[in-house]
Amino acid sequence: MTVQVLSPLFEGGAVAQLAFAPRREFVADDKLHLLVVENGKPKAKQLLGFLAEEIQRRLPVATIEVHSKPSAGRPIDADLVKMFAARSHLVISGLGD
Amino acid sequence: MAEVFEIDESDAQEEMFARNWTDGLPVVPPTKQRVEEMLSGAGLKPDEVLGEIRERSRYLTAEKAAINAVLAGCKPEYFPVVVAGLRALLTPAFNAHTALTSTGGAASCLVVSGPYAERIGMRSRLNVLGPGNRANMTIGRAVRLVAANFFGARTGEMDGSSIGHPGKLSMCLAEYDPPAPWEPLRVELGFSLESTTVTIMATEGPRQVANHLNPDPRGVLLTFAAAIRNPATYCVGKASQGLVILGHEHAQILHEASWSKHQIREFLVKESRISKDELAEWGVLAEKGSQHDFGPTADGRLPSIASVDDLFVITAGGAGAGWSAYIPVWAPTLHNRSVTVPVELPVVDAAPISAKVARLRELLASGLRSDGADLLVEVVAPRNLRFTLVIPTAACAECVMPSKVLRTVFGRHVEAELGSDWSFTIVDPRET
Repeated sequence: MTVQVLSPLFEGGAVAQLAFAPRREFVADDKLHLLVVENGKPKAKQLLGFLAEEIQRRLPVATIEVHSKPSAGRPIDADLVKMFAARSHLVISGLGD
Repeated sequence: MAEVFEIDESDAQEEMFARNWTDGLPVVPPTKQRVEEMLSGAGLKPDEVLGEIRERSRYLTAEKAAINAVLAGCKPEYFPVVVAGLRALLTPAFNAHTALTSTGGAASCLVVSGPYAERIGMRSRLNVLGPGNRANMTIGRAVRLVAANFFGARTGEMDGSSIGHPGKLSMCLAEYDPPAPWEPLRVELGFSLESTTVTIMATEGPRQVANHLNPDPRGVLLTFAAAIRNPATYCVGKASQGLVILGHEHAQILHEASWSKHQIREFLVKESRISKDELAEWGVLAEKGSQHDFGPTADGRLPSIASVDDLFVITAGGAGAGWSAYIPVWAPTLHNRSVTVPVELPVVDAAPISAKVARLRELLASGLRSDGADLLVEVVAPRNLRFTLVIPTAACAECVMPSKVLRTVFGRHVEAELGSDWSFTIVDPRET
């Protein structure tokens, strides 16, 4: 004997794949703006700052901006994300512990 | 409409385990009929949206909540409490996206305060945090199954708990209303005494607090302060919330000494502050330059509880040798806050109830008509009936059973037809 049961799972399907931002070649006289978003956890700022300096040694990065999230557990405000995207050429963000 | 699967009844448990619908324990097959009955328990339509986790682009419908409540073993009358718990879970201040994901391994602890808890048989006394009560266990389990099945909060997906704890299966208790002038949690949070509320907190496991010999209220509270400021607890010195469950003897000591609940909270918030040096003595290093660096403070100590309003004090548990509990939250208020939502009970649908009342009247009146009498029935208030005996002649007055006897007979039928939560009065012309 069979019984019909209803699925308790989410059925909305996978999130649509997003396109990457357009890629470009770097040239020697570029003045790139590198944004570092650290999540507020211990040593995140140091780790990502080290990565940013390494990138600056290898690419024409003119300025580095560090944004410290007030809470690792909450996302950055959507308007802030738009502003960051408008003024940055490269972004490094850190997740996890 | 949720996807429907046809499964072999004799193999239903194994099939549901194979589909990863469970929390590791057997579940009740969510048939269409069971899900519809669950929805009716809260008077909800299947497609009603209860809330969302925006970061996951997932909107929870009442139907999906009901399916998981059936899986958990809930009765339909528990569903209004489950719904309130889920609405609380999905309130942005609770930050479910992170609370259900963090390595800290938080439970979704539900505190139910109000008369509906007793009406559905929830436990608020002996073994209040332990097993054995269907309502407590399955309401908490339903909320966790929604988190796992619908929002992906399970190991291997989006639950990153390093250790976790047994409360992640189910952690739900009812408050035992305190003696006056102390107010129950719902009233302290601004709701009416008659209402029932669900407060959700993302918590670590409970710490049992033992103090069996000290009759001094200050001594009892210092023991609680020691539990709150235990350096091994993640939130100590990081401004968080917390839940104190005052057991019978401890509540009695404090109440008889005329401590108000506000004074208790003030004392515990102050005494649970801790210095960086004290933390270091136990090997714990305070954060420097990161999100939980609160800088220098006036007394050189760090707050374990963010403010007097961030410590919840309730009474629950049975009499014993002097046991209570403290339940720390999983993260500082920077990331997550408790949320309280009132339980909304379904409005009784007039048509089916009137049909049931009419059937009840016919059933009861048929016995009276053979004695020359009749019966009128009115619904005079929600879940309250008035029966009026009609006895046309004095001759038949003695044939009809006295109202004291009728009360017993009517009571049995009212409970069978309408439910045990209905009451009634009998108007008997022989007694006027």
